Amino acid sequence: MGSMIGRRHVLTVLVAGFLTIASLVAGGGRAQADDAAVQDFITKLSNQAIQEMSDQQTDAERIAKLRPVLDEYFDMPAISKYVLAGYWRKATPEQRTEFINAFADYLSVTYGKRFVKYSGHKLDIKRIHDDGNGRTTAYTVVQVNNEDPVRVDWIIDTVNSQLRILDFRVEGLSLSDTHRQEFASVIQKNNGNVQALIDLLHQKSKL
Amino acid sequence: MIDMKVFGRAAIAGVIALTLVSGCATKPDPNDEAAVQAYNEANDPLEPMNRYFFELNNFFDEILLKQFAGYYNIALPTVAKDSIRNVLRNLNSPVILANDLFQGEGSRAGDTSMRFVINSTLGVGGLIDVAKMMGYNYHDEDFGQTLAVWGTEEGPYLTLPVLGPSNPRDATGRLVDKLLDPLTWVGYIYDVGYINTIRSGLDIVDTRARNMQALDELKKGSIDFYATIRSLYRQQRNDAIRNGRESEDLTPAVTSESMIPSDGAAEAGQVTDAQ
Repeated sequence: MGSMIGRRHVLTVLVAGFLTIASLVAGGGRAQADDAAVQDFITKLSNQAIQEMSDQQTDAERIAKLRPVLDEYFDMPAISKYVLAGYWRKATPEQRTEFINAFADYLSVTYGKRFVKYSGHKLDIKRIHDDGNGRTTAYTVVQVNNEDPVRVDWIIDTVNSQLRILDFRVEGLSLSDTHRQEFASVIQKNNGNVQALIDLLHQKSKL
Repeated sequence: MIDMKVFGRAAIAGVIALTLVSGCATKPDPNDEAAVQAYNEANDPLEPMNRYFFELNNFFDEILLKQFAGYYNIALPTVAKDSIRNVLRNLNSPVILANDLFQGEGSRAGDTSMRFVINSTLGVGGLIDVAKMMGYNYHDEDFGQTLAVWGTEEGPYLTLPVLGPSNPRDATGRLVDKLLDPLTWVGYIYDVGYINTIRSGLDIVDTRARNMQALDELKKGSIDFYATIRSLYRQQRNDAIRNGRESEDLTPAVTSESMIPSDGAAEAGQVTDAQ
């Protein structure tokens, strides 16, 4: 065991050293500043969730608080475009706007309900990776209540110099990819009709 | 047993009806770019048959498995459930070890060996996960993942009767894992095949019990439960194949412009290929 820990320690130092050199070579001081901004962004979101999503309230109250969080932290138009895939192009401008809203409503209702037994969490930012073009992935480990910790990766974009979440992956399961597949299937079943999906989202968003 | 017979008949009826009459999903109109893209990404040419088995599995889950798992959750304290899971995991060690080695994962093979030795002895036949306390964490591995590491494509999506979501690669992997498992041979040679039946039964109930809340929420929340499970199964398998390692190559798939279709009518072909 002693040797295991020793070996890991040496590895950590080596990796840390390598990363420092790599970031210095890649972006000079700039990368560091971005990392700090991303760190603040994720920490702020995390703290807000702990404060607002506690189990001492009704589903409706929680959902009402989650809805503005989506607009504030997530790039809902980009996510909507991604999940609709080819059907985004087929949708009318009115349908696009309606979809963005219906999708955000649906997300806040379905995910808001999942906080039933929630009583806070612990979030550790493990690593922040610059994906280029203003995009970053923050690799975190989140422990909810006292359950096993889970890996959560946040894909973050810079929109008008503001940070916005494009997707998150829980243990490798992506929110955007899952809904993209699901919605494509729903639209296909309705003969390519985007409005049918929007109507279903409205239905599912009723409490 | 009666239920299994009914299941068997329904399954056979389903295969005959669906593969012969309408087993294949309707191919989309080649001029409909959005539909072509959706069809390609779903990679589910046998969708009608898969949906049939999905519904059938779901039905038996509701009336049988879910009930069992519910009792299991209520009847057993967490300590007992954890012990059962520890034993099941320990019994699976030889298969995990073989696959660690097939994939050339030396350090993970070491973890698996240490876990097996420590937990079988100090852990009282696997009841207690002593190895975890010593820093040897559990990981899963199977021949489906090994095939993937060796470069085998997953193939079209499949829903297997009783067993659920799969694909040709993972179904083959399951079979090979059975053959790799010493207990399969113990059961066969000493004519004690029931030990493997009990083991599989416990494994299914324990897994179902642990996912009770998550599956309920998913079912309630989703608009198309089948498509959601199909997507989650693939993503979960891909994550397992990468051994949960952080992977940068995932990110471009989500964020690259080619995956988010442009508003103009152009480059639909690229969108389809970008998978």
